[in-house]
Amino acid sequence: MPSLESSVLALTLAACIATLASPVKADEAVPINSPRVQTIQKAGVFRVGVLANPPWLVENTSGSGEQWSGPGWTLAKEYARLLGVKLQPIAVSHETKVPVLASNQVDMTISPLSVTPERLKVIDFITYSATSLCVFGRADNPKVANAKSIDDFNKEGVIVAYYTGGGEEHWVKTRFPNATLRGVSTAGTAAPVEEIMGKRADITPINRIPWVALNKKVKGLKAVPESNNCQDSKEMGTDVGSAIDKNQPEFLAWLKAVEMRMQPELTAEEIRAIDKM
Amino acid sequence: MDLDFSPLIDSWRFLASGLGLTILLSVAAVVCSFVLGLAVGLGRMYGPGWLRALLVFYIDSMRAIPVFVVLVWIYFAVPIISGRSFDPFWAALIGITIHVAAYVAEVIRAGITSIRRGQIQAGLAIGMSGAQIVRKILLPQATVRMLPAFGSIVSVTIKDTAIAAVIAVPELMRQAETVAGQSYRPIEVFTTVMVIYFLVIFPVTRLIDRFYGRVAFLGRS
Repeated sequence: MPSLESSVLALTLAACIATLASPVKADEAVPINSPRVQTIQKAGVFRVGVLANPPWLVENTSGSGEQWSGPGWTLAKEYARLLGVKLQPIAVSHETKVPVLASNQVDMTISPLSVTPERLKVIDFITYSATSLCVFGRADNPKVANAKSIDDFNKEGVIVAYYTGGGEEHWVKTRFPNATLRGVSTAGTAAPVEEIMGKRADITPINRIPWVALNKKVKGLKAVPESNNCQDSKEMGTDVGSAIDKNQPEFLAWLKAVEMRMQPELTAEEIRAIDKM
Repeated sequence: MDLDFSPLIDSWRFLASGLGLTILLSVAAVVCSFVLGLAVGLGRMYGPGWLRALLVFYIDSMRAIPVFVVLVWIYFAVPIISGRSFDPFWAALIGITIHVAAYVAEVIRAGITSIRRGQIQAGLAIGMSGAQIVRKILLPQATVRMLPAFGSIVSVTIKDTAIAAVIAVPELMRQAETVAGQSYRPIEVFTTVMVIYFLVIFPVTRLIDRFYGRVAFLGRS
C-alpha cells in the first residue's frame, strides 16, 4: 500500500505536469467595482465606436465575411470575451468619435486615435501602437521634388493642407509657422489627397503607416523624409490606440492590463495588415 | 490621369447598402416632414394666437439654423438630456424632418393664401364649415399649385441625407467615404457617388414636374 507521502508526491507531480502541458490563459480579473463594467454587464453588450482607419481598424467592404478586423478590433473582442458580453460596433464619424464617449453613446472608441494634448484633456487612452508623420506632395511639384527635409517647406509660398480637428493639426501649426496653412474637412481618407492632386496645396501630413498604402495606390507622389519610404520619420512620434471617457480609473487600469498581455499579438497583426495594404 | 474604379467594383454591395439606406431615409424624411409640415402650416394659419406664435418661432428657427447643426445637436443633446442612447438613423430622420417640415409649412401657407378669397366666401355662403372649406376647396387647389415647390423640397431632402454621414449614418455618402479612405481613390469614388445621386434625384424631380404639367389646370381659380 503506497504511503501518504508518496501519494502526495505523486499528486503534486501530476498537477505540475498538467500545468506545464496545458497553457493557461491568465485572464485579468474584471473590475466588478467599476460603474462602467457594471453597466456593460447589465446591458449585455460592450458598445464600441468604429470608424475604419487601416491598419489598426479595417472595414470589410466586400459585402461578405466579418465586417471588422485589425488590432483595434481584436483587442475589443478580447475585452468583450472577458466581460462575458456581446461586442456591438457602433458607427462613428471623425466629428463624433470623441464626443460619443462623453455623451455615453459608446463605452469605448476603437477607431484608432493619436494621443494629443487636447485629447488627453477629455479622454483616456489605451495605446497599442506608435507612429509618426511624413509629409507628401506631387513629385512633379518643384517645391516637393527639390526638398531634402521637412524644414524646406517652412517658408512663404508653400501651402500646407491638413484636416481640421485631426491629430496633425497642432503639429502643422507649430511646424510650419512661415507657410500658408489650409485646413479642410475630412473626406474619409488618411490625408487630404485631393488637395494635393488638385494642386490646391503643396504638401500635407500623413501618418507614416497609411503612406505605405497610399504610395502603392496613387502614383506620382513623393514623401519627406525620404529614407526607408518615410518609415524612419521621427516627426511627431505619437502613440495610437483606443479611448474611453475620463474618470474611470478601475476600468482604465483593467483595459491597460489586458492590452499589455495582448501586445505581441496586436503588433503581429498590425505588421500583417501593413503588408496587405 | 491615372483612374482606377476597381475599388468601387469590389465594394459594390457595400455601396449598394448605403444607397438603400439613403433611399429609405429620404422616403421616410419626405413623408414625415410633409405630414408635420401640413400640421404646422394649418396650425399657423388657423390655430389660436398662442399656437401661431409658437409655430412662427419654430419655422423661423429652423430656417435660421443649418440642418447640419440640427442633426449634430439632436444626436448629442438628446442622449445627454434624456439619458438614453440614440441610433444615428433616428437622429438623422428626426433632424431632417423637423428642419424640412418648416419649409413645407411655409409652402403650404403660401399655397393656401394664393387661392382667391371669393372661393372661401362661396363656401361659407353655401353653409360649409371652415374645416370643410379647407379640406374640399382650398387644399385640393393649393396642392396642385404647391407641386413645383414640393418637388424642390423633395430633391433638397434627398440631398440633405448626405449630411447624415457626419453622425455616422451608414448611408451612401458615409459608405463612399469608407471606400475612398481605404482605397485612396477619392476622385473615382466621389465621381461615382455624384452620378448615383443624380440618377436618383433627377427622375424624381422630372416626374413631379411632368405630373404638375398634366394637372396644373386644376389649380387655377
